[in-house]
Amino acid sequence: MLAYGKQTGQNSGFSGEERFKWKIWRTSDSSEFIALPSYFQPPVAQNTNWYSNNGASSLSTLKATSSTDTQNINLPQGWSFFSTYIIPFEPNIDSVCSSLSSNIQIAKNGIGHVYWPQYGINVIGNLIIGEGYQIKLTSALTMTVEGIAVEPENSPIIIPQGWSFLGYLRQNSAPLVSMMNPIIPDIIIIKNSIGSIYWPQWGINFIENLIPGEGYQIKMNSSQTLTYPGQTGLPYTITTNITNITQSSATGGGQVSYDGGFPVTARGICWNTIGNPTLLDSVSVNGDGVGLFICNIIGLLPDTIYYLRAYATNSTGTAYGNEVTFSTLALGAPCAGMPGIIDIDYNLYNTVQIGSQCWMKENLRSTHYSNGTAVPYISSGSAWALLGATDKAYCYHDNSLEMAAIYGALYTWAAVMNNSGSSNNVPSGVQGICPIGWHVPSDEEWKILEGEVDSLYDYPDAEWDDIGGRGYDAGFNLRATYGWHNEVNGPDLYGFSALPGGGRHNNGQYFNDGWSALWWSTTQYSSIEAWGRHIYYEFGYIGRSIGTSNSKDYGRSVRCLRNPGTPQPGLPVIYTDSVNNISFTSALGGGMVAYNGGSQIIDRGICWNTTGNPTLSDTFTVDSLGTGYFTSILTGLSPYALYYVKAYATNSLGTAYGQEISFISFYCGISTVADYEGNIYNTVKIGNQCWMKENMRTTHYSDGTSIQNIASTSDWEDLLYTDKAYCHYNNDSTNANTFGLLYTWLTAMNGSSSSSLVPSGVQGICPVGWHIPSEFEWMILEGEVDSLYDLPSSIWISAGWRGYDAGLNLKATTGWDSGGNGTDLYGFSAKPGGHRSPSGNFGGINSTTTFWTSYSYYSQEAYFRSLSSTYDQIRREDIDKNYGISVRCLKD
Amino acid sequence: MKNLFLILLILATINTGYSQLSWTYTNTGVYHTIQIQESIPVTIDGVQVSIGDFIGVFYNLSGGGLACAGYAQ
Repeated sequence: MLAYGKQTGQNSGFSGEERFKWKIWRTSDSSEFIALPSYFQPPVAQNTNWYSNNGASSLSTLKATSSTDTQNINLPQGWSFFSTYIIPFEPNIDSVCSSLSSNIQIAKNGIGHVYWPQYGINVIGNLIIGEGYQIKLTSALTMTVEGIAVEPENSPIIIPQGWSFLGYLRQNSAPLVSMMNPIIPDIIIIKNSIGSIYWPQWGINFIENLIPGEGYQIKMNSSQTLTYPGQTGLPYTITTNITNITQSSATGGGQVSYDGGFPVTARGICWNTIGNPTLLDSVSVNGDGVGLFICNIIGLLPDTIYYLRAYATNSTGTAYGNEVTFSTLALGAPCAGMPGIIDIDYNLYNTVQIGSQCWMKENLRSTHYSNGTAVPYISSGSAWALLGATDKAYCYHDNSLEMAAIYGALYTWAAVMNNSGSSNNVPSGVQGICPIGWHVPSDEEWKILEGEVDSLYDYPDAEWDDIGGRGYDAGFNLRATYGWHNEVNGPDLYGFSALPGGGRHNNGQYFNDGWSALWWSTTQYSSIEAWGRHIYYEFGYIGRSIGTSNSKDYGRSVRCLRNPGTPQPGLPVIYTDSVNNISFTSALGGGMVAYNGGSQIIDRGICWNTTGNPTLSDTFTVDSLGTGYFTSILTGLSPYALYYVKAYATNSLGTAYGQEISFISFYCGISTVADYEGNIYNTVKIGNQCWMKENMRTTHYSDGTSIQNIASTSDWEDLLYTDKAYCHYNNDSTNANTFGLLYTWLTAMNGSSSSSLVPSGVQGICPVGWHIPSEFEWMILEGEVDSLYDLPSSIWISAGWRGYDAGLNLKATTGWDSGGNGTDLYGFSAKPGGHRSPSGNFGGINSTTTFWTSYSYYSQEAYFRSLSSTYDQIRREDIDKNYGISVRCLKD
Repeated sequence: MKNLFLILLILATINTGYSQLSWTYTNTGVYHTIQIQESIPVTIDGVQVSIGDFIGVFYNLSGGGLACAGYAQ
């Protein structure tokens, strides 16, 4: 059958995209019926229910009824929107509105056509199914529409781009988001008659339900086709976002907003690791009926991508919500959304998620409670020995700030609890010395951790109720991969990174640093003892003991746990990192977004000025998104100027700033320089040169390329002149902080060719802005520090031990054996770090030090400088390039 | 599949032979083909229509009302 269209200039036939209307003529009684069509959908047919020149549609059903459907639409006085699900027998708006009599003032459609009976104007003509109309009445009335009710599922509606009026074709109210779900991404806003709006971009929905008889004003980003669901059918559900993600669990859920006309008998979520999950995959059942539901998912694998959908089942079948994807945390990963925590003293701690618990990854070193009250500091052993079970105090192991930086502080139990009573709850509910939002773990919470990390015993298990060493390998698995006595380190399998900070006896003596780690819990055993935990380097277990070392007046470490639940949304929490690599005009800063405030970080960076309290009104960088550490380069600095820096981060609620720090643009002798790994080097100005005051100890080049560590004697012996390698003296990593590392010449040069220029132009292993000193640059230094021979002097061109006292003046005042300490007159502070010969043997520690120059004597040898405990001079010679010796860098 | 097309092109000036049927349409020269397979349900009150009954497709008149754009028996 052909449906004829309208030619230009003609009145007969269909207009473009006009909907087909159908009738059936029954010959037997000469009766005419309005009929409702349904169509085969593309690709079975090219088109459906709209006219298109040369189009092709295919009817699938055509149904008429002799009965009459009626819809009564209540219209208020004044302006309102209406629509109808009835195909009227008399479709002209003049007929449809006849029941309104003279009360109708005007009606409009979505493209501005009007029906204005007072002036006999009717540009609207027939009502179009699926469209809404705006009408103004002088008084409230009920409009009755008679005809045939449409089948909404067979009546798609084309909604144009921009503003239009939309009708509602169903005979029951239903949630707007359910009905509009397929086209929500293209909806800008929807309004109803009383001005309520649905504004998806901002999550606003004051309309909530679509109501039969009402019309709606809608604005679209682009034209879309909307087909309302049938009067009955599948339910409708959406999947809510995933929260509380850990290595093995997460919280999901959904909302069944429409039951499809039949009771929802089951609802829940399903998930898998391949996508498009169904009831054939992992499933949870979370009640029935419509409404919001949540579900805790457990038994997930770490570091795995999961796909999840909500579902709802009624008698017609099961419907699924949108698919969401999430990744479980890897073992050792930071807590989601909160990779760090900053205490009242602006100490920054990393976090780690272990099972359901979010732990600090480091021991606490706070010296104040979160309200600002100071914890008493007691360094004196005799004073500590006088403490009782109720006394608050803290100290640092061996009263050393360096120890504090590694192990945190040691606290008495009373200091940890801060007047709170004993608790064995989960969570303990005792904030104590911990930052806001965190708490001191109870004995039971320690057991949960132990069950999570032990490979043999889970939680709960009677094993953890024992006293003394318990478990199989929980203690081993919690130990850091470094720092333990005799290198008996752990695998740090879960990122807890326990270090052997030892403790403080109640007699005031410090004990066991390097050997054991000891922590408090909030659970007391008696008035003078409290449960704690300890790990000892020799054993795999974790100790839970009572007795002397658990006296409340002992000094133990503290690990804090984050309070369960989602933190209150707010501004981000951010920490300002120290500024390094300071040059005359630039520097390297950065920060750490410790908490995203519960919403996405949309900007982060640093800002700075020269007057203090910098904000985004000053100079700032925009670096990246998200939480965690970031670096940022300050540029455009003026030399020798004092700058103030803050890191900042912005989320949807606003911008937060980290603590303020200050620095002076590069000032040799005051400024420091950092290498790729973050090792900090002091500087010293000698004459017109700016030297590093320490030997290089990096294991990476400035671009991040790693350098191989050769420990084995035979492997070192096998090195070629073209090989790169480094080692620690005697393969003892503790030598690095004092003497730096030993590098082959090619390693120091990073493969660059020999240079005798001033400056050498060879960055080599040095940080950006620094270089390997050339022969002549060493001679400039020698002439500067020698009390007898200046530069120029031919003495410096000769080989062997040269000068008068240049070596003496470059050597540190301590550390050299045989009375060979120097005067360190210029602050060069050379220390006797020794060397490693091409045969792989170490020698010279405490008696010699040797430095590479950038000048190669020939293919196998390069020049060096050496100082000795037995000479006041400085030596110039050439040696094999696969010697391992020290490197000092010089500022460009 | 058996496809039987009921395609009737009837000019407005042709008498259909059914005096009561008042539907007429104009062949405007442009058209949209609508396939109606014999096997599909075409019903009145759930009862399949009989031989001799008509189905017609209609468009809106600008001043209101409907006009036929084609029909088939």
